[in-house]
Amino acid sequence: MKEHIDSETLSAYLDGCLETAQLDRVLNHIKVCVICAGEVNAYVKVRSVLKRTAIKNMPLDLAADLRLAAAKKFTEQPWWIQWRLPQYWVPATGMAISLLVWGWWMQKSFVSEDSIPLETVLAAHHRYLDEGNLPVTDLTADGFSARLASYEETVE
Amino acid sequence: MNGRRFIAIFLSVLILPIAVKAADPNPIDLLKNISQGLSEPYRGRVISMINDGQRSNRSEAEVFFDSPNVYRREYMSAEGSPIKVVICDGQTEWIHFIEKKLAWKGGAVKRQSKLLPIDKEWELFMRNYRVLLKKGEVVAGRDTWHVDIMPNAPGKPKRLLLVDSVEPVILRSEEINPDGSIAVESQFENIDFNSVIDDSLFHPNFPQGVTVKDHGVAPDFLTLSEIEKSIGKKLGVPKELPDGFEFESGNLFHFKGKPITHLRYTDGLNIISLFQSETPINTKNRVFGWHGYEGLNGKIGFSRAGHVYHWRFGNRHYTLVGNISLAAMRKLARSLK
Repeated sequence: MKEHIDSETLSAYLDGCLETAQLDRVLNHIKVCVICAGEVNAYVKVRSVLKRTAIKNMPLDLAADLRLAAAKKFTEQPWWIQWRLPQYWVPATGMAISLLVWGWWMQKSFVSEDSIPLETVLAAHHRYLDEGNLPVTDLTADGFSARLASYEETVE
Repeated sequence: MNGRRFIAIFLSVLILPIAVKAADPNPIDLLKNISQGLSEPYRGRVISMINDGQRSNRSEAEVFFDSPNVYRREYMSAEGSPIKVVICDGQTEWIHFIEKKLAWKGGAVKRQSKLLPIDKEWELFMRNYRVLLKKGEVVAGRDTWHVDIMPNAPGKPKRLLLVDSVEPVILRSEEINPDGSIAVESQFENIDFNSVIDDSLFHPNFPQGVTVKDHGVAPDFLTLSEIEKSIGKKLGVPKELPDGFEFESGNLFHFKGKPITHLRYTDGLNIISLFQSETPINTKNRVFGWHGYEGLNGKIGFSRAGHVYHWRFGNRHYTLVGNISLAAMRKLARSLK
């Protein structure tokens, strides 16, 4: 035989994970190739031996000791390390704080106790519109007086 | 003889439509007549629908007109009783809120000439708008001329007017946003040009207990250098803005002792106001329909006057107000920053 089947494919064959075309190729090959057939037999033997070997559980006292040691190590750490969050929280928290500060600053820059209500400037704008060459579109000309209605609430 | 008669009839048929066409008024002259106003009294009822981008408002008023600058408007509640009365005697205008027992007063509209000469303002109008005239529909039982006023620059509203075919009075008016939505619809439900109106209606006669206050926002018409001299600082604003707006005038007024500079730009029809103050302008209220932030220091929203663009530069606060599209507003704001 010029080419043998590689070990991974033989293992996959034994696990039943080959597709039809590949499975046919392996079956045809091991019929005529003593080396590959021998390798398959060897895998089968190893598997049967492993299956017959009893599974050993960890001794209960050892498991308890290990858990105790892990818990002791955790409680001995400072609280800030015990509650430390995963690394990705660092940029996320930084971003959140930055947004909060920016929002507070924006709010502060636009609104303060002694700020001028928007109604005041809108009233002045509407009053000037009445000076136009043509009458305002609203023939009731209610723009200025409507603004004064809310302006009144803002003036002492 | 038959031949002559035939020629005469033929010529009449040719000339008649030309003669009828010649009777159509010049649209600019028609608008200028409206601007000058009627000198005869009239009264009528007007209904308006205003959509400011966030809500629609209906307004209904009984209008009494005596002569330019002398008028009375009684605004009605949904039940039909007056809630607010505006009276102007030519020198002073009073706005009386009946239930609140409060009347604001200030200088009458058009009591002073604007800084920009009227001819120059019409010139600006003709440069920035196209006007079309045709026969209009009947409004309040009267024949009208239909006038379309279309802006040359994008982002400005279009206006449609139905003007009385005899008197220089607008009977129906519409403002159409650049996106095609209607911003304002206003129309006379009825109008009477022959009514006799008692002169006492044009003078205030408030009931006892009404407080009268000065609103303080009636405009003066100052030049940029006069305002700069008054505030002792350079304003640093251009005399022209994009899309055909030119500086018309400005003035200085106060809110609780805090000075505010008001600069007005016109394209002959539309008005842009630029306010400057060292005190922040509080936009956190119901007259500002929030739209969003603009950069680090700016915010933009809607009001009944159109878009409102507010920003801060150094220790100065700027507010731009105008009935133009958001894109056009951004363009103007960029030219000022």
